[in-house]
Amino acid sequence: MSEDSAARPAFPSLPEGGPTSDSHLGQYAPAPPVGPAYAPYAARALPALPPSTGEDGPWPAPPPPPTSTPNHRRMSRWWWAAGSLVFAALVGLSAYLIVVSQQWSNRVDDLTAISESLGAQVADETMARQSAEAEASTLQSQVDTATARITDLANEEANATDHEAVWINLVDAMADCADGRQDLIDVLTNSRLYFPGKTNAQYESEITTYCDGVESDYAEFKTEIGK
Amino acid sequence: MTRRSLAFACALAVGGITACGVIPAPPGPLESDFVPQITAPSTASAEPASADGFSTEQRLAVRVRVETCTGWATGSGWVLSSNEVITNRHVAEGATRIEVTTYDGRDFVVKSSVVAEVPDLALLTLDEVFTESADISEVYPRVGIPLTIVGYPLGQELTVEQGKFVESEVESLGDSGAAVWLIDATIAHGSSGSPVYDTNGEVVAIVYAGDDQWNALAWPASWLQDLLEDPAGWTDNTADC
Repeated sequence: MSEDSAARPAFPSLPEGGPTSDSHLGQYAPAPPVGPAYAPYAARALPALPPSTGEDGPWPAPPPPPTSTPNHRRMSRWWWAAGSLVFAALVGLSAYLIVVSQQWSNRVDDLTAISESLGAQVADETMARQSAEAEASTLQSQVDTATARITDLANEEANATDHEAVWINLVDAMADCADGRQDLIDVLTNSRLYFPGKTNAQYESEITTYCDGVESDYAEFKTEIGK
Repeated sequence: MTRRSLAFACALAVGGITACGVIPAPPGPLESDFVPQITAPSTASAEPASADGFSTEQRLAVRVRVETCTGWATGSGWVLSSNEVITNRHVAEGATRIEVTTYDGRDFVVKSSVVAEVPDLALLTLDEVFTESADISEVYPRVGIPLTIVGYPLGQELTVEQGKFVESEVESLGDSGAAVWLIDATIAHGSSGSPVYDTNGEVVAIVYAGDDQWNALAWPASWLQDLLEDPAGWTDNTADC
C-alpha cells in the first residue's frame, strides 16, 4: 500500500438498501456533503501552478514527488537478492529431487527384478517341496506296507515253527499208534507172543484209546489252523 | 527493514531445516542378499531313524517259544543286551528248549536260562546276536502317565498297545506281597514278558499277568535292577521230564 492510497479518505459505503436503512443511518447521516468528494486529489493534481508567493495562497505547498530513496534502493536490492537466492535454491532443490527420483525409480526396478527372481525361486522350491512331500508320503506308505508284510511273514514263520512242532508230535503219536497196533497184530498172529501184565483185550483197549486221542488231536489241530 | 531481513532469514532457516526432514534422501546401497539366514527347525524326533520302518521298541521285543516235557507255549520278551533276553519265569520255567524270534522273523536258540521266584522273571542267554538293547529306567509312576506295551499276544503278530498307569497294587498271584503296576492296556495269553516302555523308550516294567478284565499287571523294572545287581536271586532253570 502506497502513501497516496493511505492518504485517501475513507469512502463511506452505504449499506445495501440505501441511506434510509435504519440499521446504518445513524452512522453516516449527520455529515452533509460540504465539497467535492475528491478534492484532495484535485489539489494534488495541480503541480503546474506557480509556487505560492504569499501567505494568502489558497493551497498548501504540495508534497515532494515520490523519489527513489537509498532505503528504497537497498530494499529493492535486498528483495532481488533474496528472490534470486530463493530461485537458485528452488532450482537446486528441483535438480536434486529429479536425481533422487531417478535413483528411487531405478531402485524400484531393481527391487522388482529381485522380487520376481525370489518369487520364481519360491515357486520352484514350493514345487520341489510338494514333490518331496508326495514322494515321502509314497515312501512312508511303502514302508508301512513293508513293515506290515515283515510282521506278517515273521508271524507266519513263527506259527509255521509252532505248527512244525505240533506236526512232529502228531506224527510221533501216530507212529506210536501204528507201532502199538502192529504189536497187537503180532501178538494176535503169533501165539508165542503176549503182552506182559495185561491181556490182549486190555492192550487193544489202551492202544485204541491212544489212537483215538491222536486222531482227535489231529482233527482239532487241522481245525485250528484251518486245514 | 532489518526486522524484515531478520524475519526472512529466520523463515529461510526454518524452511531449510524443515525441508531437510521432508526432502527424500537418495536410496542407500542395495542389499545383495534378501534371503535371511534361518535355522530350520529340527525334524529329528526322539525316535532314532529306523532302517526298516520299525521302532526301537518293536525291534527289541521278541517272541519266546518254550518246549517243555508236556508241550510247548509262547510268551514275549525283550532284549536286555547283545546276548540276553528277559521274559517271565512262568514262561520259561521247566523248558527243554527255548527259541526266540525277532520282529523280522529271525529265530535264535537259547543256550541257558535262569529264573527268579520273586519277581516273576527269567533271564535267557544266547549267543551274541543282538545289535541293540533296551535301557532300563526306574520310575515312580504318576497316575495317568502314558505307557507302551509291545509283545506277541496269543503268540501271534507283534502288537503295540498304548495304555496308562492306573495304580500300584499288591501282587495277587503269589504271596510275595510285592507292589506291582496296573496298566489300562489290554493284553492276552502270550503277552507275558512284554516290556513296558515309558515315553522315553525305556523299559520301566515287565508284564506278567492280567486282571479279570485283562488289563496288564507288571513288575516294576526296579525288581529287575535288583536282580541284575545281585545275581544270587537267580536259580537255574531245569526240566525234569
